[in-house]
Amino acid sequence: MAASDGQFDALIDRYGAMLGRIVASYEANPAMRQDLMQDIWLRIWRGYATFRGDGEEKGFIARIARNCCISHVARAVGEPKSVELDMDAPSGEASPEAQADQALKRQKLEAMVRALPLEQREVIILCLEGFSHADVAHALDISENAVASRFSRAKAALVGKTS
Amino acid sequence: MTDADFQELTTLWQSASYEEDVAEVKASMTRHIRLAKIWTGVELVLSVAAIVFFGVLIAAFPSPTVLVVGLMLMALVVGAFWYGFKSRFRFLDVTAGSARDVVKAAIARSNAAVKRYKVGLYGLIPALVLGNIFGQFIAKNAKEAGQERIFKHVFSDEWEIILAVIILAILVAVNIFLLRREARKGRQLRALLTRIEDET
Repeated sequence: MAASDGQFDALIDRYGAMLGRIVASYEANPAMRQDLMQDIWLRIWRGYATFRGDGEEKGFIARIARNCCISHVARAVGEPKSVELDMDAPSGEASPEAQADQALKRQKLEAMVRALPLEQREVIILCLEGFSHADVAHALDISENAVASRFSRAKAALVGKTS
Repeated sequence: MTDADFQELTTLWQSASYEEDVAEVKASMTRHIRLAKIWTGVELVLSVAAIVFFGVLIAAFPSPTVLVVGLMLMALVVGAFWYGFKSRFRFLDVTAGSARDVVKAAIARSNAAVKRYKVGLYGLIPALVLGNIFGQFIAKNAKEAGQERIFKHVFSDEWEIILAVIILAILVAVNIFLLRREARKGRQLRALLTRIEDET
């Protein structure tokens, strides 16, 4: 039926960070982000039975996350956007200043990704997650040409905003 | 933007670990999963109890009409349970395709749900008639079999009416709530589809 408890904990350990980043690129509010993450993990737990190993597990997880995020965006359409800056610094050896600088840059990048049109956003998120164009095409079930075209448009938009 | 620049962005992007969010979600998932399992269990127990109840009535007051109507009600219970189970555990959430396809599929599902709730709402009248036929035939059979006292004991008139009114009120309220919720969801999805189409 659903994923077993051990299997599920392992999934959270493996893909928790990726899912956190995907969710952050659709929802800026930390509290709503948590709710959305819970919702997605519950759906993954229920839907895991349908994952038959055809294609990558990572792609399967990303697809469920993307679909839930789209439903979330639909709910948010027309509602005022609330954006809170998340000031937690990333872990590492860097100095507090460097960490804060890194965190701010990352938040700026997330905000830029959130501002992209939905169809470009879903492609660039997976590319930033390290998916190849073929993997993105498989995960989203669109052609590689469509992936390439949306990717280059998204990249151009990011350049426009960073420059 | 060169490949190296994009690689830099990728590194920056992946530096977010969301450790705290992940830890909190992991801790709360145990509770959510337990609740989901309990809910499925409750649904199963109630469905089995309803089927056993109809089965006992059919066995206690046998006649072709009671059998046919009883089996129809049992099929309704099984169907409702299976549909609920399927819609939660088979996966509407793995729809493939671009955002536009996913939204279109969600709109189609939402429209189907609206129709289903409308049928549920309007179907209450035929269900009432069906329940009435079932009750009358059981009463008739009970009388013929000399079990009228047992029947009267199980189905006293006052209780029957009170129970029927309560159940009907709950059914109507739940259906209206679900119908309104689904209609709102459909409107939101259509607005999103318009936005996606405007963006491209």
